[in-house]
Amino acid sequence: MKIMLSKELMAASTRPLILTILKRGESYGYQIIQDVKHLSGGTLEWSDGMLYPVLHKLQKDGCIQSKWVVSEEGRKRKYYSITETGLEELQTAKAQWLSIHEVFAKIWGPTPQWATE
Amino acid sequence: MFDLEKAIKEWKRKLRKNPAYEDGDIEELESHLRDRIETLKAESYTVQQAFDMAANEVGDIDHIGTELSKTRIKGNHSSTHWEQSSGISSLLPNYLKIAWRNLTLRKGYSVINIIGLSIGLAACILITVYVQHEWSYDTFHENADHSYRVLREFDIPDLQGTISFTPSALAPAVMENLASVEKAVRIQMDSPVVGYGLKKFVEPSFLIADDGFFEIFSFDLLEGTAHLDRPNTVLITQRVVPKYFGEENPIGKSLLVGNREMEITGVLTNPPSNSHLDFDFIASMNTRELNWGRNNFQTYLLLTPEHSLNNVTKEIGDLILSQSGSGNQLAGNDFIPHLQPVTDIYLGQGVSVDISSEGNVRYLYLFIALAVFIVILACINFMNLATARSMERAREVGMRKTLGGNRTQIAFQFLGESLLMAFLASFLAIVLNYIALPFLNAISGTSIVFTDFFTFKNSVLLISITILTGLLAGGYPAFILSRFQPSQVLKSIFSSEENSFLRKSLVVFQFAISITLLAGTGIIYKQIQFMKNSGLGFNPDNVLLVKQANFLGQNRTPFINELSKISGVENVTSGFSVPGTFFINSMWQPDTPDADAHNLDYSFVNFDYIETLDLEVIAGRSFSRSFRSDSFAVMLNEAAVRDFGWSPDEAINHKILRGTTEYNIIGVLRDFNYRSLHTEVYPLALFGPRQRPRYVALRINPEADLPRIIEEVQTSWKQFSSLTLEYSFLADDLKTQYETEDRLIKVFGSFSGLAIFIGCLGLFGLAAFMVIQRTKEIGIRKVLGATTTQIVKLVSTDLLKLVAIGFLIAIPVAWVLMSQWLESFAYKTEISWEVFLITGLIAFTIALITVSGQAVRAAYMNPVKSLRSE
Repeated sequence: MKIMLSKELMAASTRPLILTILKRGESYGYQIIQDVKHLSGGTLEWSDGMLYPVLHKLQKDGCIQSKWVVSEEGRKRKYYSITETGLEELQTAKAQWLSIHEVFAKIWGPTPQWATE
Repeated sequence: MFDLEKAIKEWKRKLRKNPAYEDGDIEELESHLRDRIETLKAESYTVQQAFDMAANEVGDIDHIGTELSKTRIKGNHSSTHWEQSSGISSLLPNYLKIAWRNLTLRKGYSVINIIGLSIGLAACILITVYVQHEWSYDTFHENADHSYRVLREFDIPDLQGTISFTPSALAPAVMENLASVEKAVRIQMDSPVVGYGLKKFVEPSFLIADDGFFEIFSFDLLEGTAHLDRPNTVLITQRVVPKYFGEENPIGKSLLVGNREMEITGVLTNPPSNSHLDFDFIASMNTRELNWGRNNFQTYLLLTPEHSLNNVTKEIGDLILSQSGSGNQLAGNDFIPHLQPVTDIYLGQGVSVDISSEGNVRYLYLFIALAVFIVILACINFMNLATARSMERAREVGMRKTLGGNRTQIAFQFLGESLLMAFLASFLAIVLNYIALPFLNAISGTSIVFTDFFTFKNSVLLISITILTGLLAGGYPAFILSRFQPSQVLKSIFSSEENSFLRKSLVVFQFAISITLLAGTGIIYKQIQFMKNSGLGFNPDNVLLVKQANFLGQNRTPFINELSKISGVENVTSGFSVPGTFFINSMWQPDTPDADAHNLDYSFVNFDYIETLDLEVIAGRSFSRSFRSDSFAVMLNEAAVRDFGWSPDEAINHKILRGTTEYNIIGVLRDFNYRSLHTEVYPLALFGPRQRPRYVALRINPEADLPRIIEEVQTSWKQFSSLTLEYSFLADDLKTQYETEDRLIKVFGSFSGLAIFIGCLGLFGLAAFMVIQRTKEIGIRKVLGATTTQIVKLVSTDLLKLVAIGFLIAIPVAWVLMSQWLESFAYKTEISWEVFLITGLIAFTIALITVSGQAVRAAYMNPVKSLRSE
């Protein structure tokens, strides 16, 4: 069964997801979306264009920075890379998500019938 | 053939139409689109298919635009609509509407609540303004903070005290010798006869002052000049101008003061009521006399701003010591100087002989305590009524909570309502004050104007008290009500036991205070009656006093002779002092060798004085015309004889002396209260007729026709004097000695009345609430055959029990407090059980009337209605 995430959960998870991808190295919008799709196995589906406002917000908050790069084929691409602030936010978010995960794991894990109820 | 570039251009144009997209954004999205198309082409889609799919995957460009523009708004919060509008502010109109509906729904409650609080606040404001007035004495002088009066403390064997009278030489000497004294001014009090043309009056508020008076005191000049540097000039106050001059301009006119012509150089505004100097005339100092022996002057000093009080006091002390040779017979202990700040004179304690009437700090503190009590009572009342009503509003609270109202919001709502009521009450309080102010001025002799209420300080005070009262009063109900569990409230299963205990104890507390005040009033009344009616050792009844006899001069004896001819006059005499007036005080030496001098009050009296006042002679004889030597005779009272160590019989034929002059003791008088009953009878000496008498006293037959006698006295007076006859009855004069107590009882009485009233409002509210709570019970009782009387009894007993408990608490409190108060009297009444009995009866009667109204209402309720209602 394919699980669709709710809108709120999507909105909440996008930022840490982008930051995680950028932590591995700088990237550009299209590539980031491909990575997300690839990593989530299609669980996270959004219209491609909606990535950009999130990227801009992150940049505005100082979590990432950007530069224009002209590729070998002569194509212009805007590359994003993570900043110190971004790393910090990612760490916080990670801790939060993990703690939530832990809670759910605890209450749902040992008694599987709860989860299926 | 599909043109990709054209399609992309077209797509970009659509983006450009949306202002949210900036150049970089479009380029970035274009780059994304092209990447996607490349990928799709590689997956063997046609160019057209690839473009359509890629453009579609980018999504709704308007939506993206909106999100993009959001990132650019400064301080953008991703909050949702419902969070923004959940604040208290959006509920405010609703709260106000509910508050107003509640006020008008239960008009009776609202009126009781607001009136109770406003009376409390009004009393509190009134007292505050009065206390401020008492504390503001002499602060209006510009140099008040470095102006002082010299006090003279003496500490010699048998005599300690502090007086404000100093020698005439002091001020000039101090000004000449001390660098830190900028100005030293002498003031003398006089009460001369002042005349202009045919008009003549005795002026009791007549000051004589050195030039420089206006450098220390800031009294405003209305016309003319305020200088006292020329001899025989006088300044008068505005209020005496009409008495002498009518519409004429007084400047430059001459007044005859005593036998001296004085030119009026200026008119002053009337001295404010918070000035310790009260005067109608200020004349320039005429005397060249510089004397260290006679102490007739008040000395006021203006010190330099950088003065050191201790140094100046010490320098003055040294100066006085250095003068002890020059006619100052008194040793160092006789004149220890003290500098009293001008602003402390009015409330200053411990000056035994002073020029002005004194305020009493202790009474001020008492008044403040009363004000606080009254506000607390009103506040308790408010809380009581509000909590009682809370039961009725429990459902509203339950409903609000169910609909998502939280505790803070509900507390805010109730606090807001009580604040609203508090502000209504304080507005009403101001109106009440406007009405009550003339009465305050009449009782306390002040001249406070309504605008004095609205100084910045007072306004802040009133607003803070209002807010505080509102918060305190609303705080309890706000706290309790917001705690209600909605499920319980809506199912009507909550207990009010805990609340009703608190409410009952508040009523008990209120009545304890009210009854304490009432009992206090009773005891003060009893003490005043005791002082006014107790045996004084002489008979003041039916004694008519003619005053200003010293102005008769040579005509005195003919006048007295005329008076003795009037039928119905049993005795006529004259004297320098009569009981209740000023007696001189000095040291007298007995004739026994090596015996110490003793301090005596003394005065000079004429023949028949003892008989006219009905004094009892217990040894020797009274003054008599048949003894020529009686002008050097003296009569002592028991206390004086005791002081000298004689028995009354031994005293006869002893002598007392001052200097070399000897006076034979011819008789001893039974102690009589020639001073007020605040003090014990002091040693007294009455000397034979030598000093000019100030009073003529007539003992009148009680059967005689009083108006006729007074008319005849008037006729004789006119033959010998151009002054208006001033007369009074000794018994009445003596009663004025207890003015402070008279004033106190008025204040105490009004306050206990207020307290009882406020207490009854609370009781009324509680009774009304109880009746509502017990409606069903009463209905059932009636159906089962209870009579009206039984129902009334049922409702009343519970409440009257509270009054009874309050009464029991009040008795010991009042007992202790009033015993302390009575300590300040040398002759005091007993605190008897009657006072408490009467107080208790009054409190119970009032409480019963308050409660029975509600009880009767309950008893006459139709049980059919009350049982059917839900």
